[in-house]
Amino acid sequence: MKTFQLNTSFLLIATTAFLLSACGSLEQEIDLSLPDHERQLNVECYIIPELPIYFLSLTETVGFFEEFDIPTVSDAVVTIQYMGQTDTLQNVNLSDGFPLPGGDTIRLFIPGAQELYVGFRTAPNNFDSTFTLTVIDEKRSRKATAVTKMMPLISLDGMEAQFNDEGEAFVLSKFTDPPGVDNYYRRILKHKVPLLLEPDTIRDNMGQIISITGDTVWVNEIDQEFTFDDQLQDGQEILLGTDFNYVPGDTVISFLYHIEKSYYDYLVSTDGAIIANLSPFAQPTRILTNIEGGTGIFTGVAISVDTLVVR
Amino acid sequence: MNISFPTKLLLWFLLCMPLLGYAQQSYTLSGYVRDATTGESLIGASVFSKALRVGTLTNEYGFYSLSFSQTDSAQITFAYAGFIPQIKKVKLSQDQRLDVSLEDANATLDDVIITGEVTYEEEINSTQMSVNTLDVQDAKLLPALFGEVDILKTLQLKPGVQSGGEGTSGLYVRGGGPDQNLIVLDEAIVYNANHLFGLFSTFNSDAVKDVKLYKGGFPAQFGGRLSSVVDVRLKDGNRERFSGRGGIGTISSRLTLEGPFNKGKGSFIVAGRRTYFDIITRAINRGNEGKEDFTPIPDYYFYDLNTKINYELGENDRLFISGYFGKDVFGFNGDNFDFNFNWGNITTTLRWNHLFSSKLFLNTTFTFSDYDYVISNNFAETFRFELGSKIQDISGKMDFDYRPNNQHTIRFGASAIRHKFVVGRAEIDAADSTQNFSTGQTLFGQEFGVYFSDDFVVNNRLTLNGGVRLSGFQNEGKFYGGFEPRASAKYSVSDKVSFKAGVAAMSQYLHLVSSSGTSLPTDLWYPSTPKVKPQRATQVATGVTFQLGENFLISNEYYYKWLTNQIDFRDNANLFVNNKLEEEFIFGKGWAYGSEVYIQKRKGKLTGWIGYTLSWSWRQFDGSFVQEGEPGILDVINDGKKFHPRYDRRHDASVVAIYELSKKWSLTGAWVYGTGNATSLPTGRSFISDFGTLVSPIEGGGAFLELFGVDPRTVPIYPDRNIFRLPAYHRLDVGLVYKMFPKWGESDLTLSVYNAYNRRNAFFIYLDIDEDAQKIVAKQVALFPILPSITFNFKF
Repeated sequence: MKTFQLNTSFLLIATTAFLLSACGSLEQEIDLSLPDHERQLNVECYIIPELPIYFLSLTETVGFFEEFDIPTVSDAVVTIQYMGQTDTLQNVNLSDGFPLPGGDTIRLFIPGAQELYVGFRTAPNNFDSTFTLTVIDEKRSRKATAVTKMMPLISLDGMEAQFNDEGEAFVLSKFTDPPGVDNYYRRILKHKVPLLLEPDTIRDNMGQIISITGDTVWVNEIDQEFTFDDQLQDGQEILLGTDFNYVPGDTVISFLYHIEKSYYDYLVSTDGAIIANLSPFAQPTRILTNIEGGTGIFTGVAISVDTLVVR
Repeated sequence: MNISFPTKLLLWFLLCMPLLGYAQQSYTLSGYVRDATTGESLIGASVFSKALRVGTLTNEYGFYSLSFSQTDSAQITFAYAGFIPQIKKVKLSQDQRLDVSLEDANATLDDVIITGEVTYEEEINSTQMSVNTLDVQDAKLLPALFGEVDILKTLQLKPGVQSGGEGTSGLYVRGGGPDQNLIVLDEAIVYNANHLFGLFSTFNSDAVKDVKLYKGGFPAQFGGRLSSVVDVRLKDGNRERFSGRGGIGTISSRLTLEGPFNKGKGSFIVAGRRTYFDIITRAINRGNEGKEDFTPIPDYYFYDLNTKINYELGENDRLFISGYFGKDVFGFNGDNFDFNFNWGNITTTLRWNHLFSSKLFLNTTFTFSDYDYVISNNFAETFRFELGSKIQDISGKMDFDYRPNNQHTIRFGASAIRHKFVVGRAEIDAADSTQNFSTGQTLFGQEFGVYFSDDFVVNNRLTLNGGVRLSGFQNEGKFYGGFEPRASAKYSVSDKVSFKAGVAAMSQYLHLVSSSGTSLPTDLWYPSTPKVKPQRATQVATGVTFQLGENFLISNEYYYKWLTNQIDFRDNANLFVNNKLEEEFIFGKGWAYGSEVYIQKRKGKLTGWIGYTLSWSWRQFDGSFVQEGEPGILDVINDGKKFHPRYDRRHDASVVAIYELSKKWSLTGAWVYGTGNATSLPTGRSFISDFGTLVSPIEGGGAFLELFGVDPRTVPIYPDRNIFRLPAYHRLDVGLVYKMFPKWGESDLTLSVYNAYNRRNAFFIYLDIDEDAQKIVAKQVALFPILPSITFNFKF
């Protein structure tokens, strides 16, 4: 069965767009006074097996009309505890670069992030251990905690392309949902595109040189992203389809994230809050978070990836 | 079963009421009152004798029954608003049948205005309170959005009735939700009375004869909804001659044909209406075909068709068959897809009127109702998916109208409905048949009701109405019952002043699943189940009605309504393809109270009304329905605190005026004012970098970070629900009607100006983050600026 994302969001946006298509200049800026917002710690951290480093973003929530740039919290004590070990993460400024355990210094480009807390440990493929996060912001008397577990990997079973008469292809990815348990997924599909850059030495995010003299690099651009659960497809083979977006020679990369329910709820509720601000038909909702004493997400994620060159 | 003392008292009262006032020998005059021009039966026409101080009103089929306790002659007046009254002299020595046809006062071609005898007797003397009757002729004169006459929007101009938002025809009655209105068209339930996402209602005013809105004091024959009953009756068709009417408007045209057959024993009416957005947009699309920067405009149109046939089987039997068929069609095609979104209602009614005697009238009705929506998409003829829901009813009922004497009007009857619900049906097919998948639930429910009521004229001053409705609903082996007492009283201080009070209990076994604050075609109906209990409400109301001078009727009512088992949805509920839909429901309570002032003027060149409502509506979802353990965060709304629903409106006012300048010219206007809707706005924001999507595992172990992942985004943080208010809403619509009288009939040109002073009423407010300018602003979106339109109407 194919999974198509026709959901409430789509209909609300379509309805809104349809009704507002006649509005034209009927939109105007207004003065609006909002009540004070009490700032909270906003945590974002993903524990991913096999990745030799983990990152944590620590920012604050702000009043809607307060300063434009989201403030980061640089002086908190951040620890992650699992299997009897406690790692204290260090705060690093991404633009300055930071040293790896081997002595090399790397600079990371992470869209929207100026600084992160990092820890150097390869998260194990251990599904029983609990990871416990503690964030202490002593200066502002705030503390945030969360727990998560590593998710077992659910592998993609393959990809294939099918063509129409115009020579355009859609791509199918498939996997089998484990029966008898509630599973939650995030699907991301990328394809390789050339990126024009000034001549320079280009390194990827792990410091590997990917281009020295050329001015074009190949990067993976996102085509598709959504979350779903297995309520209607428990234990079945699930097909994930696309539109006829591809031509022979395209490289398509399919990602399947097996995620916790708390992460699924967080993604759905944040999407819902964004849509509610833009649609008069949507019911605003609160953000569902697993962070005690703050907001955000601390979660283990297992990612399966597959690549297809369309032919 | 233990029956409380007040209940016993009420039952005793109900049983004894019909026995009172039987002592005298009497003769009965009965018959039908009709429009002389068309033969249409007139609903609510007055039949009375001033000298004998007796009187009655015709029922929903134009039938009256009036008893006399003496045999000497009497002068009986037959009167109906807008018609020339007739006085008939009758001598009663036995029961007599007398059918009367009244001349339409406006049918004269003289340039003189005759409005007929308009009395306010019904409003003053009836025990029925909290009811608004809509004059369809007036509604046609009022200015309207795009010139489309809309009876539901005209009802919104009455006190106690609010609209859901700019331009929409949804009804919010005395603090009730949009699903708590029973809308019946010739006694068949209409489940979605809207076209175009609520901008227009499904009713073609050319085919509608009578509209009544009950906001409280519900007659016992109605049940199944908590807040209102909208009783729409279609015309029967012209029994005198073949005739037609129609109109050509800015966005739609309509045509109605009607006439007699078999020498006037029967008549028919066929009324159709269709919009023509699609004809215009298709022409635009064709003109721009091939242009790279042009995005084709989707197709959209709606149509509806009303039909009705009635036939006199004999002097005492009459048969009616009526039907409604309406559809909204939305289509969008691209190179590789074919998207369609269709929704619509079908209703069919078969009725048989039978007169057992001059005192006993029976109406037997069978109805069929169907509402469904289907969303489908074909991907390059390779994949097809279809998503939809449906509700389908088959019902039967018998309603007896028994008038043993002038002191009692007794109504009793029974009804049964079989509901079928198809919820969240989804089908996915591949052309090569390798992938076929379908899901969804089909549910059934049986709804029952028996009722009895008596309108008892105790004396010239005091009239009592007592009734009870016993309702029931069965689904999945679970049976719910409802005991719904209805009682009201009227006390006349004089001919022109009366006080009224009433109480009514209602049960609602069907629930509308809607995640939005307005009516969308994708809203679906869901039955009560073992987990989903029926909604209940009790409403008390009291008020005074008095005539001021000869021209004005003023009423002031106060009400309080308790609502239990109110349904809302968990945050982020999935209301579409979900086989565990019930798990998304949460339950709470509500209450609403307020006061309404209604000043009517139905006489003279200037007619219209002023309505004002001061009201409060509350809801509370505190998790008290949770059976085991503490309620979780998703079991409550606003941490269990009470809150206002979106349609809570402190002040709501309307001024409606129709000024007949001459026989040819009329000037009309409507001004509305309302407190802004309660709304939710974010007070804070957080940021998601989503850098987890940069991770890319490496085959054989390890992972690396890519340069691009899902875009970072700002997430609004919402505080408690509905703690903000949109700015106050106000709008003036004006219209000018020019009537013409060609040889072949009548016609008029109606100029409507919607939102005459071009106010930008807030449809919604959003907070916008301009990343480039690093600026955050609040923006208000309005839907309609000043909108003039012109409609040509005709009849022959």
